Amino acid sequence: MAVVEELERAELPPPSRMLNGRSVYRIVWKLNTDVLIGYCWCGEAHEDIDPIAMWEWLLAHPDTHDTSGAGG
Amino acid sequence: MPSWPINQWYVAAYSSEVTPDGLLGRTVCNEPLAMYRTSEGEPVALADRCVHRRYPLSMSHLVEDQVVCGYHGFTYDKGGSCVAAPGQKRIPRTARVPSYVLHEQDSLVWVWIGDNDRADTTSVPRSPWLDDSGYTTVRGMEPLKARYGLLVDNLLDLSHETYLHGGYIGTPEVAETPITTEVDEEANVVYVSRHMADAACPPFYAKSTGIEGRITRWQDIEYHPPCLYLLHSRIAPVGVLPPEEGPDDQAFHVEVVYAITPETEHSTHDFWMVARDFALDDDEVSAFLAENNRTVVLQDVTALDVLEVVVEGEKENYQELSINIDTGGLAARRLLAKLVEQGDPEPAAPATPAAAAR
Repeated sequence: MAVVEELERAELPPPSRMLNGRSVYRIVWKLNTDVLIGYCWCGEAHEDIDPIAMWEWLLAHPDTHDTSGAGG
Repeated sequence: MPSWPINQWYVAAYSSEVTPDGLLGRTVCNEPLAMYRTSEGEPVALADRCVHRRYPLSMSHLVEDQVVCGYHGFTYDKGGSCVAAPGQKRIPRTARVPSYVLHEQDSLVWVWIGDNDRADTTSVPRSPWLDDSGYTTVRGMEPLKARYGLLVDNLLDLSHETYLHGGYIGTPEVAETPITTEVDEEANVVYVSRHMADAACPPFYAKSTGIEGRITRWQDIEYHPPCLYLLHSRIAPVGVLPPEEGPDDQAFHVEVVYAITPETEHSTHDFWMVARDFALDDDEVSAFLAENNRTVVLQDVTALDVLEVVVEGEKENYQELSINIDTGGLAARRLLAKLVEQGDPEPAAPATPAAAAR
């Protein structure tokens, strides 16, 4: 499982994070590819080529979180 | 259950439309409203049906801040209570029409659709440019014979600009440039960003800004479902980025605002506004932007009116296809579905972050 820091920033379009809330999902379109990279608010990432499958992964993902708080 | 969320704020009118000189009739979320402004400046919305024989109060008269029904003269105060009935002194106890909670902010009149006791004016989303002396705004409103969800889909995916609005705001780079999408689950905001580093300048911006040559064009969408859509548009000569510190004064900023207000299940009020931070006193630029933006909006209206007929006539379980450009639109649909289910005006404040995302 990749995390934000491991991804090459050069592969991703600007800008970096835009919303500042606690529970922000982020989906970035990897440059020069058809690949989407989705980040849960906990920092875990997932790659997919289908936005519907991506949202399903993101929305299901928090079920595996430690429910003691955000961040990760 | 309606297709829109209740216990939410919706834009009912521009402030300039609500006056002490007469009544404005407009249906919002299947609720017919009669709106006016008192002599003290307070906006008022009453149900647009006289309690007596249903005559629309919007077709009636204002006398000293009271509405006198144009059919038989039943007279209502600003709270909807009947204060006079024709030919008799006794006013029946049930003689009142519902009144609505309004909130006026940023040159918009918002109406609370839901339980009046739950109206919280602090949750009305902001669009301060519309009422700021540092900006000049042009605006209009077009009736749309299509469900509001089709306009949400349209505005959340601007790649359609390349094909539907070529020659106005669309250039090839819009559809070619990847987007980044964010969703704040607690605040219920969708953000879709498309930053074009080196793009052709469409006539809409070339003629209004005077930029010749290619541009760095940023489109940052902020959608506050259900009603308010903000497009922060930044245009600058190619390669000109905001400075690390200080004002971004080498760029042109246009704040495009839409209020997406359902009228019925199959029609929508398409309020559009274009606020700019340049050429503030230039009437020619204002006229150009107003005319061109209206043309663009009408291109959308034509397309969405057709789509409404298509959607109404399609077979059950028609399976549409979504690709990468739809990431933001899918997020907006999901948040709307969540709000419909909740019927809840509060930004979701669940006990645990995990619960927020379900």
